[in-house]
Amino acid sequence: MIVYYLKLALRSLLGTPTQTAVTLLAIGLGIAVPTAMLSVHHVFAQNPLPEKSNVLFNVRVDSWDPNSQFFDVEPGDPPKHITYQDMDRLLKSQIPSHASGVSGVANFVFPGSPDLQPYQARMQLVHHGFFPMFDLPFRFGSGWASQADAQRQRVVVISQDANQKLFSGENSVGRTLRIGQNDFTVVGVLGPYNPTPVFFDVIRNQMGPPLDFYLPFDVVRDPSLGFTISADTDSWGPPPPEDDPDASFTMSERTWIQYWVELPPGQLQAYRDYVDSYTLGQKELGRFPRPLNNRVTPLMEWMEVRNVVPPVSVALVWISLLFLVVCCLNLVGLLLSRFLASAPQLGVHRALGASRSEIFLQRLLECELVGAMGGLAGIALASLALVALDHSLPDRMAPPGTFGIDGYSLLVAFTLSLIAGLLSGLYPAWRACRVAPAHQLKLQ
Amino acid sequence: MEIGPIFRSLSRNKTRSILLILEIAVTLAIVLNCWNLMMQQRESLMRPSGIDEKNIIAVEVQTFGPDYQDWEYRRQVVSRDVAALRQLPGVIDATPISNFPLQGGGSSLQAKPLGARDTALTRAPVYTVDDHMLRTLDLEIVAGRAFEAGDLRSEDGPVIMNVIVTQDLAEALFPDGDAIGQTIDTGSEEWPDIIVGVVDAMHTPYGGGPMESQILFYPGFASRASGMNYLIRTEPAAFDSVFSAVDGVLLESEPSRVVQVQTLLEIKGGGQVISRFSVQVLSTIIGLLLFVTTLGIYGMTSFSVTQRTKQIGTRRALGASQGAILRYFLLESLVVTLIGSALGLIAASGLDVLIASQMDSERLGPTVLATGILLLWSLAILATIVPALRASKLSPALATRTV
Repeated sequence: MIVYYLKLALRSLLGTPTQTAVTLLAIGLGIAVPTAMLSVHHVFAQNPLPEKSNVLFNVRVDSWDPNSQFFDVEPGDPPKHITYQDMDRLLKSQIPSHASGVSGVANFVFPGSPDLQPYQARMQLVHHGFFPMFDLPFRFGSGWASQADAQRQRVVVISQDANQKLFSGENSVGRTLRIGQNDFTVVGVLGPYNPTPVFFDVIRNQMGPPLDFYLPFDVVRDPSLGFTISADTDSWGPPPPEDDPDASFTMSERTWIQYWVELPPGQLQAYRDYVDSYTLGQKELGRFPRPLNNRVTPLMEWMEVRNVVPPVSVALVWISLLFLVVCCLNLVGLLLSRFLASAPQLGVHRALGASRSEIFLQRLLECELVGAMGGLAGIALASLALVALDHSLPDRMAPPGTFGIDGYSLLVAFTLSLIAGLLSGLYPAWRACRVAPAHQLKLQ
Repeated sequence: MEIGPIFRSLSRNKTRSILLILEIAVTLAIVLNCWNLMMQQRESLMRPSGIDEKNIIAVEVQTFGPDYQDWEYRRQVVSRDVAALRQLPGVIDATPISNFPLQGGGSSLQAKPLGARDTALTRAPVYTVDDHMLRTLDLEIVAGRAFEAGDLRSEDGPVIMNVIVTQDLAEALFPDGDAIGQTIDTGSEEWPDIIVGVVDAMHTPYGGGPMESQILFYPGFASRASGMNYLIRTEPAAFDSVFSAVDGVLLESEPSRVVQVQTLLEIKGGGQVISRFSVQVLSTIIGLLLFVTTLGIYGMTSFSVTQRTKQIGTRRALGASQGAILRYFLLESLVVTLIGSALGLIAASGLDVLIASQMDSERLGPTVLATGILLLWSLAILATIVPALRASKLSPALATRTV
């Protein structure tokens, strides 16, 4: 039955090729615009680590100046990152199954090969818990053990790209890499890894690509290694004593570290209490002059806090859906004229025994077919738009391949086209089935 | 006039009229809001920076090696570099700078008059430049004096500094006027800064808000162990030759470093990506939408002309002129467009409220409203006139043929 209806619908559409082409173009555009916008939005808003996002938490403590608002956060929020001394003490908690600070440094990389020039790179400072916590894929080797953090060992985990560039893609575990004036031992090489957004460092490297080098956090404290901090840093309070270079880490109120923990199920409240009691303890020592205001924020909520989804992208999604509404109104008009033009034929159908509900269903199916074909046209147009977008944005904002048609876009286009076909088709199909056979036959 | 018949005919063809009215209303709501968003983005793109941006070359030097850990060594390198750059033919002036203006962001701090309450804190982008900054950026002193060689710090570590501020920052810090000679606290009461000069307007994109034109300049040899930046302003004619010579000049004195030369306009473009992207997307949506709606109006008018062929023939046979038929259809379209626009204005303000709740945006203004409505009306007339002309040319004989 359905197949027969579809045949009828197809024949009816092919019978008026120009009109059908205009209709398909109109609805195709209507599907393409929201599909493209929702795909872009999805790239920003997607969950970068769906399996674990509910056990990963960003930790903030309010160590800021009582007399000024922290720059770049909503009023009433604590600073967006924490100090070294707070990170150092929070790391001692036994509650999290994994924990890591995340920040960045810059230094020069001296490739072993004479063909390659030395270059400056931003490198990620992390603790050993970073790799298991965020499920980083390893091609060779692994992360480092906890004593590497404590002893400031000169070890490095490198990305697949860096391994390709510096070691021609071979297993480089155990080989050395000169960073600044010193040799570091490669302990791990990552497999393909390109989370969008780079959720663990949205403050500095939101859209990626992820950095090529991961180092034990405390190497930054060894002045002989020559690392310079490359992160947003915000300070208040008296400058640390000049004579102790390490004081800027251990004594200053400089905030520059995103702190992450993975909590076992049911431990969230216990950990919140722990963080609060930690800050209350610090208050007794004269720090934390502001009221207690700490946050242990789930991963996806943290993405919202940091406005990872650009507000303009939300506005564009709304606008593009309204665009589809206009196209649907257009489609209603087009379908209506189409069905009313075929009223004589409908009259004959009715006279030959087709019931109203059969005509209604058959015409509705024709509308859905228009919707589906419009959806296909829409996907084609949307993929063109997304390719253009991908090229028009510079790599540092959207690495090549960030935007494109994926399963999500197909699902969006398919759903939108069926809804559009159904909603636009209901009224014209109803009008079609109300055609009075006697009147139409008399006119012929 | 045919207003009576028009309304009767519209109410007889309810569906068609309602569809058209809704389509026009939604279109107007979207077009007005997109237009509004687009104009705001364009405004931020067009905003003058106050500096001679098109004649400025931005040089980023990356250094490595233990020598550069030493402040005094870096100071010598910077002095030697800028001296060499200023020697190049066609160079108006050059300065080291802590980071490039116009890149969208940078480095900022909070300042307040010394001894004032913290509620007086004002955030300001900061640039460290030397005594050649005015001529390099093409800024004018409006009060006080320019930096002199003596202002540049001669050792590392905290000192009391003489600073220059833009007029906007001077007014924000000292609304009662005369900022010259005042001391400001930028984080340390022990080491305040003294305002020695006020320059005219400069603006650098920094995430929006008034701080973008409230800029603070420190005198010094801006450098880090990892490198330094220079700005070079050239005669327009010499821009290209200087651009290609910079690399050689800098590597000649210190070969073991990496030099990256860009135009300041390139850097500015990088900071404006989001704005330009939004303008592109929004203008595409506006264009497509107007196209689709024009098509829709055209389609429905054509259809109604076809449907009313007989009536038109009858009217013509009864003595209506071609002009009267044309006028009838145009008037009908006008009535529909007017009702649609009225609904559209209501929908547009609703959407405006929704968008304003999602992002900081200015509300719809009269210019945008007027332009949007006029544009839509002209397109509606354009879309009607073709089928309406066709209707007016129908022969009266048609009316009698099928009766």
